[in-house]
Amino acid sequence: MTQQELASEIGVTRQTIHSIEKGKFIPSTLLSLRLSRFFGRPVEEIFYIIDENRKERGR
Amino acid sequence: MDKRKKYQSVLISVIAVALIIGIAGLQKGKEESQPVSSAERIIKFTVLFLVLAGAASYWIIPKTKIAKSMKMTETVFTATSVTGIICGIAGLGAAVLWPQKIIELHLFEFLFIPFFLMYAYWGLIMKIQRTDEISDILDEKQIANIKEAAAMTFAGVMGLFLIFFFISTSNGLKLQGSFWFLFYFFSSLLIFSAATLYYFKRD
Repeated sequence: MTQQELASEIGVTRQTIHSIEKGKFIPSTLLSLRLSRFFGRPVEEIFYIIDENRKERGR
Repeated sequence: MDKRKKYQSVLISVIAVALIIGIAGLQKGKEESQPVSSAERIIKFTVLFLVLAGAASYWIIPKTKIAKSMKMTETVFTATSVTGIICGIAGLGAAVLWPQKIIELHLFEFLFIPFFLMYAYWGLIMKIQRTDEISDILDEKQIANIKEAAAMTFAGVMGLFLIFFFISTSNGLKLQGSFWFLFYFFSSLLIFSAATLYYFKRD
């Protein structure tokens, strides 16, 4: 599936999907829920917080 | 009266007061009317025609079949910003080259018209989709980018004009009011359009 196809399904621009994928734009709860419903997955499986402390310790 | 309408009327009142004060100031400093040149007549007619055509299409197009094919896309959003950048650069260039002529001939309105028509197109899409919220035709990233661009424009224009002011006072330059207006108008347009495009495309 292309970014454009996903964007059309969700009702946003391709640039928005691209920014979300890159982690540069944090979507609203509504958009997160729409994406979650589209993929048939729980929100926390698609979006999660990267634990910076754990990342630091792991280095 | 709900909260939103209350804030809308406060905003409209503030704009109306600013407009009345501005018009009063203009009337006070009004000079004797100058004869209208043919170039000015042509430019005025073209601007008026384009504004009226834009207004007419706002009422006519939603009733035609073309309306179905009209929608807000990423290309329209980007094109609006690019148009704003081009209009801003053209306006600033013309203001530097012919500061007096651009006002006398109403050239600055002419240079602004393409950007105005792009926004009229947004309005048309809102009318076709029967919505009065801009967030219904733009997505949340676009709205966020416009907000960032607005903040950048506010800070940018303030900074730019502080520099202009210090340069003009330190050099003893006596700049006319119209010159300041042109620079304010087109630099705001340029910074806002460029910032919107930058924030939208940067990630």
